[in-house]
Amino acid sequence: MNDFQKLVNAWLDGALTDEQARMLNVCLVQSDQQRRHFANQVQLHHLMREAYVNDDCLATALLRLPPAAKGAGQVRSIWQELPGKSRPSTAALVVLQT
Amino acid sequence: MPDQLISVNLAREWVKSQQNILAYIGSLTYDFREAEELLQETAAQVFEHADRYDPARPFLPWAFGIARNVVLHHRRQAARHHCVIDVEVMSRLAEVFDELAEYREQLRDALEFCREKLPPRSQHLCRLRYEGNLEVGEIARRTGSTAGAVRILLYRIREQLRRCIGQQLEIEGTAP
Repeated sequence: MNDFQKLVNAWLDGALTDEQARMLNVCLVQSDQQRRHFANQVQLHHLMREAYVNDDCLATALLRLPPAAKGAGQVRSIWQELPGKSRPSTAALVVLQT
Repeated sequence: MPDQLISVNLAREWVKSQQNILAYIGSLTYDFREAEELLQETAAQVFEHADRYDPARPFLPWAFGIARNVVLHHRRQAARHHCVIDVEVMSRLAEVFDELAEYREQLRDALEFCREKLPPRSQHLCRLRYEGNLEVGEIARRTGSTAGAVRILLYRIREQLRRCIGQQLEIEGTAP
């Protein structure tokens, strides 16, 4: 494991020290390759989080809406069009309701 | 374009993009919950500034710009935060995440396949880290291990998943 990977691991473990943060920034500003490596790992990290956290807040919110609620049909339409298991944010729903 | 139609289009773009925006914010702070809170604030800002959105231009870079400002504002205001990435790096990371967004769905499907192949102990560790958002020290305490051993195990799990995902994407011909 190289030094850069140790910094990335500290990030992914949620345990980055101030000194490690400084070193990570230096690496990320200097190297396009390391930025891509970091971004790839962070993306996977958040996909893992998404996989384990059942973010069904919009579905829950939709169930609570009265059928005639303004925008409810639009949100349902958006929900149905989503690819795969994408989980929309409650925020979009809230905005459509206001 | 009528306001309501703009809102619907914006909502559509948002739901398609929000996990990519979360991943980008997640590259600016190393705490899941902080990233998720900043995502909600970004959503609010996106819709608050709906009148500035140009549907003729790509949504994601515009939303990344708003997310970056939200993170910077949070960093200035919060007594305690985990946003440690320099401003200069933030913009460059946005460019990378814009490119990665194209492959997100394939990556997620491959991850689902690979995650199921993990042995039970690894799945348990992942659950503690990713569902519980537990720090390494707390995971060590709960599993009767040491922080160092947990760090190594998590690293190996991530490597195992990366290899498996790489193979899956190659098989499907969708590797970035």
